[in-house]
Amino acid sequence: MSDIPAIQARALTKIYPGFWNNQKVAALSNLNLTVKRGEIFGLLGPNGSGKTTTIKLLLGLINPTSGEAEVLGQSAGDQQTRRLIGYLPEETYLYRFLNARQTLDFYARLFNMNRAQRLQAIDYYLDFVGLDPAVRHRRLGTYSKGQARRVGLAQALLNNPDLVILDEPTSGLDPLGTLEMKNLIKELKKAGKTVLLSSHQLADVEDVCDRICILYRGKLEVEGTVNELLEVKDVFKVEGRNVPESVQQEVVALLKSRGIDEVSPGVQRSRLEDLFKRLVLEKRAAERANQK
Amino acid sequence: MSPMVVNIIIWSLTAVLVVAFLAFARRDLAMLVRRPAANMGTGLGRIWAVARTCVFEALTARVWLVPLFWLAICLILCSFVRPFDETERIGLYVRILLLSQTFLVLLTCLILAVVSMPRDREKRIMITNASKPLSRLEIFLGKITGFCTVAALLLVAMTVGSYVFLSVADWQIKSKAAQLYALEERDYANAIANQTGNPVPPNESLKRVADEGALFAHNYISVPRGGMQIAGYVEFTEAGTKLYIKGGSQQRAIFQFGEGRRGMLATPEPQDSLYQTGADPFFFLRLGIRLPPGKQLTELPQFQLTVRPLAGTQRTQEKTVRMDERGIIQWAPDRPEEFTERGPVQLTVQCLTPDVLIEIPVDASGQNSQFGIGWVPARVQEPGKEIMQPALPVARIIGFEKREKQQIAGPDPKKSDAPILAARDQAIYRFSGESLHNVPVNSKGEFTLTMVLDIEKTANYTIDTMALVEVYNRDNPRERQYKVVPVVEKRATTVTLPANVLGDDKSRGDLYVHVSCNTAGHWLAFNEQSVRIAQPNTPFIVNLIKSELVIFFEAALLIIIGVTCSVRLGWAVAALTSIAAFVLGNFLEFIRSFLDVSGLSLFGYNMTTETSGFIRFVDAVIAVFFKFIYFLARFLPDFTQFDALRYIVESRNMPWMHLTGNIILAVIYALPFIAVGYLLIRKQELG
Repeated sequence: MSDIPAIQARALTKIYPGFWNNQKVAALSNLNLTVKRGEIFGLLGPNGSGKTTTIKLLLGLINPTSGEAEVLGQSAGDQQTRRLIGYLPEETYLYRFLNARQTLDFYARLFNMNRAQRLQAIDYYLDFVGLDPAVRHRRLGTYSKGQARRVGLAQALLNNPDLVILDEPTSGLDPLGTLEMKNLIKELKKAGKTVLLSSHQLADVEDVCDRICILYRGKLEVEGTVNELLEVKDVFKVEGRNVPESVQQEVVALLKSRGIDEVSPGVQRSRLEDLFKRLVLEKRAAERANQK
Repeated sequence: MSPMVVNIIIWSLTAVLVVAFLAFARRDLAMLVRRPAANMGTGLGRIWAVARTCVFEALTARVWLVPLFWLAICLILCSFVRPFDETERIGLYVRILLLSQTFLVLLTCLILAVVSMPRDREKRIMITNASKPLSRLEIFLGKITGFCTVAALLLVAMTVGSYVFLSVADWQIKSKAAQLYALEERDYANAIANQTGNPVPPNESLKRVADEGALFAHNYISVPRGGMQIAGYVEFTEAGTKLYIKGGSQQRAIFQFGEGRRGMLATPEPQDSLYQTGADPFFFLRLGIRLPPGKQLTELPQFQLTVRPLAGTQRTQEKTVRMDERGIIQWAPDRPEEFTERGPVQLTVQCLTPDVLIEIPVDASGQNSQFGIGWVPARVQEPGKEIMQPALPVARIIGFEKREKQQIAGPDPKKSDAPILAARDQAIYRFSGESLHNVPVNSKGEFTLTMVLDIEKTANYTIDTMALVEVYNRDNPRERQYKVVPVVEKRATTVTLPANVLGDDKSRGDLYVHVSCNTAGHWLAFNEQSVRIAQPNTPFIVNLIKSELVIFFEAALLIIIGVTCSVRLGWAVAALTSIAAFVLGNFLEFIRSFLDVSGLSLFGYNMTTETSGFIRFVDAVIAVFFKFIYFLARFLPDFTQFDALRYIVESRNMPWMHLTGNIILAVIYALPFIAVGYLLIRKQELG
């Protein structure tokens, strides 16, 4: 793997001018950022913190006011470099008058795929994102948000990119879709791809990202690995299955006897996501069994 | 601002735009043909990918309804056509079909073109697209290509529709003409058999229509520019006749050295008029001047003199000269070495100074002793050879060109005893010998001359107009063909002539055709294309496709303007701007006419000395506004150049040169718009 970072931003600044060049808005200020090849990097921040602006600058969709950015070793926006990038925008920005196959056919043509390659890639990625075959010939204008999002994801992966930029990838997806997306992101990492992920869903980011940064009002506030940033060094935690209540009381008593006052014993709760996943998967399995 | 300055500004600006485009777009242009990586083909492939989405977009907008809508309109309109003659029906149908096509295709494609890019921006599809290896130039050109494809598809559908419709109409016309001809033939036979009334022979043009139909495109050989003259015959009845030509007008006096038949114009009978060994010829004229009352001459009048040798290979020479204080004009050739061949010569005099009347005194025979040729014995002299000073030939005035009114009169109705070959006004056509090599000759050794003339009658309203056609070749002027033919208004009159009048097969001389009106009280009107020589017909479908191509290139230009406008503007403003460009480009001449009236006078307001200062100010503002509009319009394409109907409605084949000219024009007009569009989209932020 090349030593050149997948993304490198140096003092990247973007100021949007007002209508008469007054009331300027600094969307991004002096951002220095490095994303290594093969890692999943999370870009976090509240609304208006500059996440999408950063992505647009990296793709060359907008021009920086100052500073510079390199993507895969080339300056941001380079036409040839874009062939190695897959981008999923925050919303599904696709032609509503095309159906899923026509949409992917259009984007596949931009990557010089011949007819056989296109057909193969279209079928593969539509299956990959789990788009119902019954809707593939319907125009995108008639799709639900989740269905359109899956087509959007398929177009982002169509060229088997080295760098995948996902802006709010789980937006509009049901929990199961969210889970699939997270699995997909992990799969991409296994395949050696670099993923830049921007999301509001902090739990999702926590689950998949190697490193994250948090932006606030266009400024980089914090950057590091998830473990480093989330580690609570003064809290000790032990987990055990089928622990009798008497043993639990002994452990609490032991800790208190050693002078540790802030002890919070409790039963482990599963997450709502896990419950939803379990229920829906069981239902689906039952439906499939009935169909057979 | 003078037109030349405006032209310089336009061309300079265009050049700057194109150079800036080439400079800024050089990398993007290179990517159009480069293949930098396996998963990145040429830019042309990506342009076509974008173009395909435009076609899908148009199909979603149900653009396929347009040809059906067009066909319905045409069927309704064509049902109201009532032609003067069945042979004109196809021409009228073609006019309806092509005009409605032009209107619908231009409007549809313009709307599609201006809406697409703003919608991509608004729906942020441009963001997804621009994140792919797609340059801004490729997006821009893709949109243009896409909507040009839509225009082409619409036109293909409409061309097929037109051809089917016209073929059915032609079949009906042929059957109808055959029935009418059979009826006329029967009536004629009955009239002769019963000896009743005045038997009228059946109309041969009906038979031609019945046999050949009307779906073909004529090819003609026409006279070159300036190869036609309208000569008014001058009858000199008394001594001291004074003739006048008006300064600053198109009126010309024509003098000939070397007599022709009855003193008419351009009769090339070889004589020793001009030829002299070792001497340079020059002309001199002494003319009078008359001025309108109260007018004073501020400078001596200027004249345009054209010397046209009527035989040999010598070229026509033109010169502008000024009259001297003695009232004499002198003219000598710039290239005397090209001016030595034997033969008669004709001099045309036109006064360029306005407001003066030039008086030309002549005697009863039409001769003007103040007008002649002299020789300067200063050129090549053979040693020991005496140069003889010849007697000066006397000029004879033979006619006036009347270019302002391209009409010739028939004989005076009061003089009914005038001989059929009497000298009178003539239209004279000179076909270049070089153009006569491909004249088709039939099995009888004849070729066909075609005339399309307008008629005006001031007397003898009920009788046919007869034209006298006189044809001869410059190489053999004594062998002349005379034909008297009936002329029907707005219908082609054909004259069949023996091919030997065309001259030698290898080196054909110029062919002269003189046409005069032989019917008293009637007038014939001409233009340069009125008299022509027929060539083999071209299939109608070829001509139809050529006309459709002209419409296509007009639509393509409008699409380019529309897409360029929509790069930064919203669709509504872009549509308005494009339509304004189209309208201004179509009415440039009309807008130019505003400048002559200018200000409030345009609205019928008469400015007087008592007009208030405010009104004068408004008048000045309006005048400046229209000047600005005209200045702006000069920067826009002249859409009147794209005339798809010009040839096909007259059943004439569109020359390939005309089509090529239209294509080149579209490219020249399109280039600056493409440059502007690219420069606008190049750094556009897609946020």
